[in-house]
Amino acid sequence: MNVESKNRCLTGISGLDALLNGGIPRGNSVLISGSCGTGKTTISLEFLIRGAETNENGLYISATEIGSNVMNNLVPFDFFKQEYFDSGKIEVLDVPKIYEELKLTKMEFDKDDIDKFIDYIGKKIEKGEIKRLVIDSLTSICYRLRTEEKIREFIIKIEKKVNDNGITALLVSELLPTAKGYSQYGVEEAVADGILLLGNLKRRGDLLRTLQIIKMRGTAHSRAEYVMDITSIGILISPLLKGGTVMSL
Amino acid sequence: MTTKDEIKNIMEDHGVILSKSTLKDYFRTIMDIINVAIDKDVYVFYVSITIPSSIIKNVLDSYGMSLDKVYFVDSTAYSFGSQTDKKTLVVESPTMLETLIIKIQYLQKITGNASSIIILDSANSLAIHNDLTILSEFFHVLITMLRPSEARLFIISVAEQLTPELSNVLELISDVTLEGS
Repeated sequence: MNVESKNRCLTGISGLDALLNGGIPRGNSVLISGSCGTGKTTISLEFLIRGAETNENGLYISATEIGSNVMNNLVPFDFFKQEYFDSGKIEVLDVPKIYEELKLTKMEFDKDDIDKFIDYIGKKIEKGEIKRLVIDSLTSICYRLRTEEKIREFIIKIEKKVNDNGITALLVSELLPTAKGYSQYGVEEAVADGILLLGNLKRRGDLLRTLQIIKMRGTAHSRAEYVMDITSIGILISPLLKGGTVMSL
Repeated sequence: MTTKDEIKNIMEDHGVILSKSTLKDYFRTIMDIINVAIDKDVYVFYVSITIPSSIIKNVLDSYGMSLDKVYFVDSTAYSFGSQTDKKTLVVESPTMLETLIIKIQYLQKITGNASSIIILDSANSLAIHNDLTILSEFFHVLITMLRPSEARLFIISVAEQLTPELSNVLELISDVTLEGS
């Protein structure tokens, strides 16, 4: 397939689609990596809401916080519309409830458990005619997979579901502030189609949120670092000014 | 020709206007720019680095000037929680230059990218908090962002407090200079 002609999923996030040369190639699974407070959840939720605005159904799988709490944090945003959630345009699933439903009680999942979980998500995707998927966070789910092999297998299977259904997925990856790579276990970044790195940049006592596209299969893209701000109308970005002394956190 | 007429004429042809006023005329020039904006019924985004937005608002009020289309970006407070109304956006520090750009971008978006005058008050104060390298870059990025829009940028400066280096940068990035009387 010609990379330039590959169908795009417009994130709807101001400025980001231009950096992606027209959006995320559909079928891509993109890692949103960053340490705490960098805006991973906000950017993921805005991605789903912007999708709902254009009639693309979304599925939010919450592993770190109760989904309803996450939604409550969205209320102050101007783009938040309860109707998207009430009408099912955006479905919110809590991972502990999925585990309970599937009777996945073991602390370490085996291959069958992974398959059960993937099948469950697959059915939700098909039934809900999902076009945008967010797993928040992939790191939390991988915690029960333990080995690199199982993590790799899990991500590859998720990616296959995503690709087969022509949907676009954001997989949230939690990093420690001191992390050198883009994912907790090291496997996620190698397998994902794209990496959107969010960071905290300390400059002369100011803490700036930053955004950078590290990789994105299927498209040319920006590789520069941007400053990101979470405003009531959504994420806004501006080029990072290079002058002055900077230190990454 | 009055300063107001001069401002009106300059705005027709130029996007980035450096206002070099004397300390004595500094405030009158700002009032004239806002008056022109009110006459033309365009939005004003007042980026305050020197004087707190509350003081500017009080002065405008005392002159009976309409604040309907005037928004403030205030970086003088050094306190995030000091935002008092929906038309004032607080930036914690004048060193957060990218955030200043984003706040202007935000105001453009919420006003539907309508015609606007952006008053940057002042270059002198920005230069106190930022070194010239990053400040030059800030001006370039801001101006590049504003060029395609129906925005006019007024960079306020006090002539007697300008260093030759800062003056050179401002002359370089501006389309025209409005000299104070």
